[in-house]
Amino acid sequence: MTTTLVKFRCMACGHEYQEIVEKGEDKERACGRCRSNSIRRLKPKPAAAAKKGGGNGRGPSG
Amino acid sequence: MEEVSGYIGNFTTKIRKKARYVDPGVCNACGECAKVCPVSMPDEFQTGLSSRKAVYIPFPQAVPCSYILNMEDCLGNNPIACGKCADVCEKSAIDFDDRDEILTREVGAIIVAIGLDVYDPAEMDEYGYTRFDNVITSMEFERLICAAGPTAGHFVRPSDQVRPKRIGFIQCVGSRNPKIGRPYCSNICCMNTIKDTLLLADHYPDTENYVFYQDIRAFGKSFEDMFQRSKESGARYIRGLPGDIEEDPGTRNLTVTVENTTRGQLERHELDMVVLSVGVQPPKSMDKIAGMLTLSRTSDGFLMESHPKLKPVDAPTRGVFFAGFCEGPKDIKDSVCQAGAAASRAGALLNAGAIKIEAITSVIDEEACTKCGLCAAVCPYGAITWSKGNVASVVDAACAGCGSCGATCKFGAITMRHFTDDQLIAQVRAILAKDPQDKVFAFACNWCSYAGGDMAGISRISYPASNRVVRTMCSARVSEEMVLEAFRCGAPVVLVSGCHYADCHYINANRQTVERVQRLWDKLERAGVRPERLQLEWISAAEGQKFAAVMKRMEELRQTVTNEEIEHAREALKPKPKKSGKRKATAPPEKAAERTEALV
Repeated sequence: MTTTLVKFRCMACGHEYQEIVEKGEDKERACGRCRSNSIRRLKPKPAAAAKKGGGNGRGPSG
Repeated sequence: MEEVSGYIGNFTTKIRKKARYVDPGVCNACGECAKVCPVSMPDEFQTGLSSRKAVYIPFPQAVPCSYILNMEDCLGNNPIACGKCADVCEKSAIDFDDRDEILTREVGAIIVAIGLDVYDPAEMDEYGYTRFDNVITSMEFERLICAAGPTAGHFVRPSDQVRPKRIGFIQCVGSRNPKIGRPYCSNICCMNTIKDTLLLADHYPDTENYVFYQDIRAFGKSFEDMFQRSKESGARYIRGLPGDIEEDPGTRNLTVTVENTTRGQLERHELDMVVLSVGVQPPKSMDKIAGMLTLSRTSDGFLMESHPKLKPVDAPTRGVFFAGFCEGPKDIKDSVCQAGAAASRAGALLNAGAIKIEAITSVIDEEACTKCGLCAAVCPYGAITWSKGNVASVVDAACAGCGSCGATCKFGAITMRHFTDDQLIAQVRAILAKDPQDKVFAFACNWCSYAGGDMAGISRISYPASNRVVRTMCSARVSEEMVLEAFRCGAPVVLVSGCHYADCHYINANRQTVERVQRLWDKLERAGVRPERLQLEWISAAEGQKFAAVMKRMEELRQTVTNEEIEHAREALKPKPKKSGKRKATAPPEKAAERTEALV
């Protein structure tokens, strides 16, 4: 089973947390702090964009 | 069953008829083949407590009463490695060339009655099931005490074949235990143990029976009376589940350590045998069946009915019915009742010869359809037929009217009868036409969230009067455009609400809602709009309290949204003008079709 570490943010209280998610997982999510279901799956930021003055984020050839 | 296609009244099924390697029409069950078979395997029917041959009758009451040859156990048929069974069979019933057959059958209705699996207690090491011979499961107990069992009904313990005189039953092994992922009650174990204590008291009056339990759930007709009879027979009920079992290597007796919560003290009981009252679980074949018939499952893994009270034997997929354990743990009586109901429902359907279809179904505009097939990919019922290069079409009899397809189609090619895009957008605009900044705007699904609001109302639970609700059949009907239109009309906050995952009335359509809201959060953020202004909540019909709490929270959120933010959203979310001569689409329809083909 493929798993990835995913970052989530509760859009109701702002609580952020990480969770290991299995591929194809079908699970209702709720915030551990406020129980809201407004859980946003945060996309990982590209490495180039995370750098200071990171350019266009497409890498050296972009 | 290997494959199912079609819809209510018109299912086509492919069934694998497994090779028996023995012709049941010729075999007279004389048993000569089994006598000469050199293979010895654990007998599954006797829970491995005795052995069988590679050629055998699965269980004494098997119909037809004929031997079968298990080719996985046989020494081989290609080439024939042994062949002794064929040599001794006077009827020449053994056929080593037999092969599985795939039968195609046209059926109008399907009843799912795939039964259950019992929990394997090996993972609960504290009970020592794999370490101690005299720790057995309730299923093994049934075989040991059965007259047709491996000991011909003589109840003996496995380690030394001596009759045990002190027997302990441990309840809730694999039930009501969230730590091992089984939080549900298996329903049948309490009464099964009570029955076992009565059986033992009847067969062996000098036996001491101990039952370790957390609750005794004897709620059926005459069950309480049976429980009282068990106690009167001398069975001792101790409230508390053992934490540990130790074995005396000399006597092979077992010492159970338990906290008696009635007396509030730690007790140790020396017993000759321990019976683990194991829970039940959905069978391994459940995944395959659920996939083939597009059925949804509850959080416990059992199949979810169309409605728990009004349609308890109907599957969400029309023309499919449930009987027995696959729908949830139940005893024999309830299983028989449900089987009768399922047969009646299927019979009524077939006898009618015609069905009433939902009034709320999708219609595809063939001219507007770009043949991308996204609608077919998201339909939880498989009600949309599509192939690459062809216009999609809806099978009315299979469509349940969730609206996922309508919300997914970016080309306006799908109209949901009674919940059209124009109707819903008109509602959004009408609600927000005046003083939108003072309103909490919400989309609520018909079955759960909207009913949750009703529940809050009839329960007289107060919540802010600022909310305005637009009802859709399913939260999946709410398109991105509807949410964006609400913000364009000045909504400070928008709530999308639907059924909990396990309660979705359209199999799993609300997963589309999650995906859509995720995309909307990204879109709002890119447009410089605070994404928190869009909220998502699952509210069941019984959760009036939650509905009120969510509305209070939404009102608090609304008060934090400034007029500047509202105006910014109006401008930032304005639709971009379409390029002339081109459809608005994120990818060319051909590309989308290729992707969809992979999905479908």
